[in-house]
Amino acid sequence: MIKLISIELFKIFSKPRTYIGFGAIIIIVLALEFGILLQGDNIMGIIIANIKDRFMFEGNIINLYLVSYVILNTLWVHVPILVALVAGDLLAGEANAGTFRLILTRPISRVKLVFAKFIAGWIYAVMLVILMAILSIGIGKILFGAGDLLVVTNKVNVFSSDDLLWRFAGAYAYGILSMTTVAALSFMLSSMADNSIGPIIGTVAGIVGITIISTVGASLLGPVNKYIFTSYLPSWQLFFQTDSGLASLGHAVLIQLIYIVGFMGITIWYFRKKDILS
Amino acid sequence: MRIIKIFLPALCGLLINLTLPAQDANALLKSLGNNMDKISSFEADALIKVDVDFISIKDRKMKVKFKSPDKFTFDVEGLALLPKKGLQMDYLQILKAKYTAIDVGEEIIGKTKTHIIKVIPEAEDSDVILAQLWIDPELNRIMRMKTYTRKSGSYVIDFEYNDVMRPLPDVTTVSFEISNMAFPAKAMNEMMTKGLQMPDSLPKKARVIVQYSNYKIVNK
Amino acid sequence: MDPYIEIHNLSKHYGPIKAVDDLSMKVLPGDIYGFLGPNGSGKSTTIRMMLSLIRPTSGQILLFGRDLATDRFKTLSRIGALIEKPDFYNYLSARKNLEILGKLSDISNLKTRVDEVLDIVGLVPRADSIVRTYSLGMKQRLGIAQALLHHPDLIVLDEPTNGLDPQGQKEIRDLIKSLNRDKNITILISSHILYEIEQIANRMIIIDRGKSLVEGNVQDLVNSQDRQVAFVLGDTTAALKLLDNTPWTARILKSNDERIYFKINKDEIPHLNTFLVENKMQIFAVEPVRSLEDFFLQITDDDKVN
Repeated sequence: MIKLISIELFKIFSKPRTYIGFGAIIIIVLALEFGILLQGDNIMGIIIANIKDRFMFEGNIINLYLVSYVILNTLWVHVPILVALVAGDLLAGEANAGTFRLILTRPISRVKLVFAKFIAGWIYAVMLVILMAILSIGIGKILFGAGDLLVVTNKVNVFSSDDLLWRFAGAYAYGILSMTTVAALSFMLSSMADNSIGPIIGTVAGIVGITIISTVGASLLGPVNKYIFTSYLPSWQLFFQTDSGLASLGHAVLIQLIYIVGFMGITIWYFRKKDILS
Repeated sequence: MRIIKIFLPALCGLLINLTLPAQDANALLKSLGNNMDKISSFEADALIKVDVDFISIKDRKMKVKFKSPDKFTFDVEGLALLPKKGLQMDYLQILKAKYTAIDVGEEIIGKTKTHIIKVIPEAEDSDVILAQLWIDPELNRIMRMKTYTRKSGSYVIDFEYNDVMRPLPDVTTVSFEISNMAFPAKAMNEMMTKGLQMPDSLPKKARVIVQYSNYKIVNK
Repeated sequence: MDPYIEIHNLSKHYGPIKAVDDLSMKVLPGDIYGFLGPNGSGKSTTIRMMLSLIRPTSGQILLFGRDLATDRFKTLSRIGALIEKPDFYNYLSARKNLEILGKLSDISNLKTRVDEVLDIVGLVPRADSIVRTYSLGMKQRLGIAQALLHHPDLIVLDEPTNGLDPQGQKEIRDLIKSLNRDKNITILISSHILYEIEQIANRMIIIDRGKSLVEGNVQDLVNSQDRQVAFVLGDTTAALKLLDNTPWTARILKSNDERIYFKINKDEIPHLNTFLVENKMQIFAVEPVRSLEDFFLQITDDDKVN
């Protein structure tokens, strides 16, 4: 299995499209960091507009933690696109290239191949998130320095800097889980296609579309909303709330895991019986 | 003639009663100001507790520095939310400008008998519309202040003193109201979970408590 | 010894369409086995089922005496295959492609073996070039190289000379013959180029519309049938006049200034030759005309008629 995974990783990192993902992360992080450097005061003014007539803030609001928090929001759309770019190509790319005829006529199990490809794609997704974390915090430290984190969601939360390491670690770990779900969806679509464009666009359109529908039509969808995985993609924010408990986080993690297992189950079932006609 | 003999003293007494309190009020305020004017500078450690329904922040330690006549600096580790009014001896700002003061009575706060003085700033561009001060006449210290402002709404500041000799408080409590509608995310969340109803917009009570310690005062 | 490939009543249906219909065939050890049929006859589908790329609807495939359905790993480890056009990881070199495929087959001394197969197919000078830069002929040779990597006992080649020029086709044919002769590798080859099947195959099957039409030894099948033969003559007009009142006239297909074309079997050729010589006709040559193609066209035509 290790051998299969290393082969798949080699193939992933031999393709130019893989480096689009890393390049995009670098550009996104740099753009956001410098954007905040130049416009940070204006942005903060907007964020705290509703309470600044009553309170004044003493201390460094715009610091590496705030910037890293802002960058984490790219886990909504930007990073899923980059994950889908590779995951969506893992199986469909082989079909398109005709290389299944070379691989699957060899004595290897289709199930093992599927797992090896998925794990390799997952490693890529993890590397994207870790790169994002390192760049956010590293460049943030150079440009902004440390400080406490101010987060305004449904509350104003101020987290002391000594209380942030585990929160960010948890948030990034959850980000990895979210991207695993995205990768699993993209991978499943890839197993059903002979061309990677469909799975990539399908994944992104699916996530964005379902998110819009579940947000705008929340009152219509009602109880179903809490079982849709896109509702939990941004649940890394739970690490930056003080009024949500382990139960919410546990539920979010469980939903994600169920979807990952479901998508992978469908992939394995479908790919095992699929006729290779490409 | 008899009527004049009876009513004239009464009239004088009434006039005296009306004018004397105004004179007493101004005197009290002046004594208050003088008491503070003795201080050239001070430093103190402060612990800030924010007690607001929708603000979550741990108690913050801060160093407060004051330099006469009105310069305050706050050295805080990390990020602190400080009330805009209440920490910078706001009443002194009011008393430095022209105002009209009226003694409106007495009230006991804790064990202290205080005079209640209403202060109306005369400047048309003053942010403070009306202030009400509860002053300890014996120690010339302010015990409570209620202010109505144009930009920052109304707030109440309570002062506690542990040292009889020191005109600076040990605890300052700033109380005000703040609207729940302030947070779009919360409003959005409520609309999503409760349906298309207007979210709860009733103002909530808020308090910021500042505890001072380790005063280092330099008098003039 | 068990046949290397044994197919019993194999079928593949796509809805109402029968791509392969109750097909049976055998490939014996040492064969170069021709797998013939018109386009869409089910050859590729059958080959893909043999290599577990497609699931049969019904029937059984035995490879080296073992059921493919239950013994896939053991059987596939003895087979090398090149199916349709040779597709590789175009962004990698030939050597890297072979190393990846070799790892999938668990080959020991992989690097040495890669060098060996590259040498066999004559690609050593271009081994480290990106496959995207390869010509079709080079890709075909690389395709055969990857089929040889794990020392297979059987190689399955699906249209291996498609798109190649005559020189390229000859090179592939020669390579196939040498693999069979020198390395004792059994080969199943499907092709449209009937001439080359006749050149290299010893046994063959012809299928059409998913069904087997005929299977057996190439020469036996061809010789059992009448074939086209052209006699190159000095005076075809005089020869036609001579043949006019003889039984041979019924065997004339066509003629031109130089040749008269007959449909006769192999044993009749010397008799016709003797008759013409005795009647003082000048004979410059006797040429067989596309014997297997004729046979193929005839048998598939018969199938359509039936």
